Amino acid sequence: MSGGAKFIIAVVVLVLVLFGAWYWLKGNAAAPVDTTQIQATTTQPVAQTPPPQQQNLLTSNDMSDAALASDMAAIDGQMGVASQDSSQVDSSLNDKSAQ
Amino acid sequence: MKKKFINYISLLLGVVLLAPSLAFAQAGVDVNATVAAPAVSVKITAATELQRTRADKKIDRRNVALTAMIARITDLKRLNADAKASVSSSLSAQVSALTNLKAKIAADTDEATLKTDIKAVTDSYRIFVLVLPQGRIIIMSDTVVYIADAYLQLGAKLNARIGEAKAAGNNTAAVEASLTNLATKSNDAKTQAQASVDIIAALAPDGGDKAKMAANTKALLDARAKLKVSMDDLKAARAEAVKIMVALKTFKVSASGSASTTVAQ
Repeated sequence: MSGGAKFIIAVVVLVLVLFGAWYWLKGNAAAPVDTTQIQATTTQPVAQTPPPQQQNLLTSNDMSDAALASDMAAIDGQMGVASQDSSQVDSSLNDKSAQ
Repeated sequence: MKKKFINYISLLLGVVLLAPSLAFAQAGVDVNATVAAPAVSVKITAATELQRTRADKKIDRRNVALTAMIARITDLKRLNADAKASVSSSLSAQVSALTNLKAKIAADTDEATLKTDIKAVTDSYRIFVLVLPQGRIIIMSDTVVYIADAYLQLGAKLNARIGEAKAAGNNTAAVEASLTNLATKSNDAKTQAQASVDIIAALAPDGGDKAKMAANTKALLDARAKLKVSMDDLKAARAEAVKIMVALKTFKVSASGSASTTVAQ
């Protein structure tokens, strides 16, 4: 066997050893990941900041006529929100097209 | 002979050097299969492929609605922190489960499995039929309680004003009755709102069971009826508050500029 052939065989053996080492390291570093794990990782809910404590709509103790009228206006504003909520409850119960 | 041997070695070397890229490409397929639609399988009909696409859009629509609801739940005024966290977590779990189902549907290569998974989008989760109505009822209930508490706070202020008018010699019997009604209606609104949540809190998807689906629908409608009563209560409470405020102006008693009032909840 010529010196050239020996050299090529040596190179091949070296490459095979290096490839084997690379493949072994790759296998350990990135073990097969199943679908569930991937999805669980990508869809974890974002951590939420602690929600505020219960809030009151009326915060002033002022009992003047003007303050009472202001309180009533604030409540009326929330009544508007409640009406919207009510409509959304109705539509969510009646929405058959979205099934 | 020598030339053949060198050619053989060269070929072997080429295969060895290409192997890492081939292996890498294979690994890429394994991972990406969870997020990218696979090549059309001969086992799956064109009609089912169309259903796969529709199921994908259905899931997206549900996840958008659920995400919006999670944001709204976080902003609720009366629901305590633990309850908010519980509801939000439950909704987030639905989003995760649907996202996993979406990936599974995209990767399905078997007709029967794909059809089962597509059916699960509606039957197993009932997002539009059950989950979102549940969330809407919780949200409205929270708003009702928030308003009812405000009417009770306002009632405490009106009570102080009535006391001043009474001390000044005015006949306050009618406004005192109105104040009692205001409190009664406000408290009933809270009771009805809480009852509506109690009715729907434990409902679970029917999974295709028609009897369970009917029971769920009835529960949602019962809860809705209670919320309607609660809204009527709030309107009645408002009417009583207006009566009192109008009467107070006729009493000719100067109001306190700023009194310290303990607000009843």
